[in-house]
Amino acid sequence: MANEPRSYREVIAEAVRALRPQARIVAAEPEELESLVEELRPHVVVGNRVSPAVRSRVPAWVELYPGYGTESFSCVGEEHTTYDDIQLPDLLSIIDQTRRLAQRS
Amino acid sequence: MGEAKTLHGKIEITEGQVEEQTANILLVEDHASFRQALAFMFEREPEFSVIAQAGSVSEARVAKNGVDVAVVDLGLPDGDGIELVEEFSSSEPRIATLVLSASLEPARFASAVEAGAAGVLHKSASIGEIVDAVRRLRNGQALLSPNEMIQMLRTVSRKRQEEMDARQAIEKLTRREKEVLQALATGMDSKEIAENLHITVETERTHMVNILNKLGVHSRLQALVFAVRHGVIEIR
Repeated sequence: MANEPRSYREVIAEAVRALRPQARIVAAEPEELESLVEELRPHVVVGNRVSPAVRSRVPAWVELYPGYGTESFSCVGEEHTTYDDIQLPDLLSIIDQTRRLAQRS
Repeated sequence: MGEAKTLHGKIEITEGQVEEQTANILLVEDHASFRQALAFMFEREPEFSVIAQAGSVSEARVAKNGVDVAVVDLGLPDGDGIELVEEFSSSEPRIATLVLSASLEPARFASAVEAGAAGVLHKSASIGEIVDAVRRLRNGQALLSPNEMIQMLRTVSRKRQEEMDARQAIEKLTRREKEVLQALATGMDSKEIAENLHITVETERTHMVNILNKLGVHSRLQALVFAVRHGVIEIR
């Protein structure tokens, strides 16, 4: 998770850690994202903006409130979704879908 | 046996014996995923109970019953969180309001304090800072020192004076002077503005000198920035 502001990143990361204890959640500064993706090879990346370079290296990504509006975007495998008002269960669902995808492949 | 009385988040049972009571929290935040995660975090703490969540000013207005601490964002889809802070402060003084905003303008935070916010936090705060702030409010502790409070109120007062001065300066501008500013905003130089408004370059310069004097600025660029900032002209 490398989204801003910090309170969003930390609070959402902490909630996801508690609700999906099997997932390893790393919260990082946005500028660290590309190098961490290279190092950790995560299954899901959450940022305000996710660069094409990062998108090409992960099975799933979420652009959470880019531009600080209410819209968000995600991609799991080949499936792209736009959210008018993304909910915490949507984020959990993205993690679950990605996990199933990783188990299948 | 001493008389029991309710404090902020605590019940004093007898002298020196204090029992912790759950603080009822209202979260007002339009970013649902953050609001829900924050509610989850508070619910994990035995001393807090999130009794209501609202994504807008109108939802918050009907969710304030029984609330001890309200955590309020300022940029809400149907209004300004400062309105809520003001309403809670005047009609529900038992609610301690913590403003949690992404605004980078100190004047916004200062306005929130003037409206009655007990504390202000930027959204770059950590989880620990947010929880600690709510805990302190629950215990009836101040988040701002008297000095910080005074500084914030001074900021509001200064900002209000600046806005009043700007309004008065704008009122002095003639229609023609506003047209000159609007032409300036399209990137025209003196000669082009003169041609566009069918006046001589000397007249254009006279208008510009008058504009600079009235707005209390020293350059065309400053005049342009002032005019855009205060809505005299639009950049298309």
